Amino acid sequence: MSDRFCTYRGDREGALVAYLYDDIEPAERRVFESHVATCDMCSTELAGLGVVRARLEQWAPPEPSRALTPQRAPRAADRSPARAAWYDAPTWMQAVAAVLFLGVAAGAANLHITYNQDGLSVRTGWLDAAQAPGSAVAPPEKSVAAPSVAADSVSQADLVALRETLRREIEAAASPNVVRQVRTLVADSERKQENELALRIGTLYRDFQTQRAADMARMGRSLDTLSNNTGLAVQRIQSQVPEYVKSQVRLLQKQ
Amino acid sequence: MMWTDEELVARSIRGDAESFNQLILRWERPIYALAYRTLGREEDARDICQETFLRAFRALPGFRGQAKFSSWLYRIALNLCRDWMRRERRAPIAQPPEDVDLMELAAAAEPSESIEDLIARRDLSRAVERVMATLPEEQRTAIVLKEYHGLTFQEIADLIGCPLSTVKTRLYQGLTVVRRELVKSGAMASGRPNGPAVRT
Repeated sequence: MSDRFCTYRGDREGALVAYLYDDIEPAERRVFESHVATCDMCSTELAGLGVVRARLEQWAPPEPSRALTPQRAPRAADRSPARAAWYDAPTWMQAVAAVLFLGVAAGAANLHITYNQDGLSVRTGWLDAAQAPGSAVAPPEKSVAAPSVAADSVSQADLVALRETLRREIEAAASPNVVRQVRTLVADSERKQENELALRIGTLYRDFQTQRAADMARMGRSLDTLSNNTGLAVQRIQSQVPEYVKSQVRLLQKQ
Repeated sequence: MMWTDEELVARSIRGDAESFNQLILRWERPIYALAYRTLGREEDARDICQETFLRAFRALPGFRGQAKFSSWLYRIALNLCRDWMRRERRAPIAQPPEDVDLMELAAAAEPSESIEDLIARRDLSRAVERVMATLPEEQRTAIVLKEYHGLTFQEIADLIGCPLSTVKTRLYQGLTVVRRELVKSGAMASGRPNGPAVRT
């Protein structure tokens, strides 16, 4: 076996990598195999390259931090980066964003939808409906300002029905002690939820009133300023009118 | 039912978007890996991956099956990578070492692997990445396509448009450089440091 010279006749490098990757013609494999058996240089290099392959195997690309491609066939039209980012977002995120957008938009506009004998009307703005002229004599309105209320009441009814069903099933299956414990737990849980809800509503109401008071104060100041400006303008006009009349009289007299 | 690539392509051409989605799901990881190993940056690799499928989708009606669908995809991705490198005028980026996140490592651990083994594996992965980034593009591409994507020499030759013997030479040269550099960096035991002398 020679460890200094290789006597392989042919494309040694090609045969080496072909053999290494087992991508070699059977005839060439037989020839090269018999050569490697007698060539220390080739066998050493083959072993070394085998270790290189084992090292290369350790190189793994990092897990992509988000989806590689939108999980749908692309559209024929080009997509802008912003739209691409939108499509890349998970569906739940898009739904949450849409609901938030609608909520913020409706809140910003103080949207108030009424349906009465006069038909459907949509009103926006921060004017309190109670202070609106004619509201005292307005016919009773069927408010649909919060469509989610209907949905909530339906889901509430479902929950109540579910709770009753569960209660009946538990009562049928469990001992009186367990039922008592479960009832206590449920009652505690409900009380906690009610307290928490009341607290949140209170906070929300206080924030709303504070903001409303600030808005009203700002509007009042603006109206005062407008009134002052208007008063000054009227005074200026009043002071100018006699001068104007006098000048016109003088002109007439000259004529 | 498991459709072949060719069947999914035919259905996609007839307008079945779900079939193309199947192709995406099947091939997005290999394409991302190819782009990452060519460019060395996740963000760019992801962009290349998306662009590859977008171009494939547009060009699908013209795909006549003269090559395998996967080879066709690889070609699109490689061309995009080349364009990227030409545009950026730079070699692939070897990711800089980061602090070891033990939680992340633990999550990636094989059941029988210790944290020490895992850190060693990560270090080795980075060493390989750095060495690969120093290779000329054609050698790196040959190694990536052969080693990580298992293409035959003939497929690689067809893909990059060069003779089969050239592919083998590039692969051999690339592996030899990787071997030398890994030995230098201590990631591999020293074998025979000098290249072979060939007597004809």
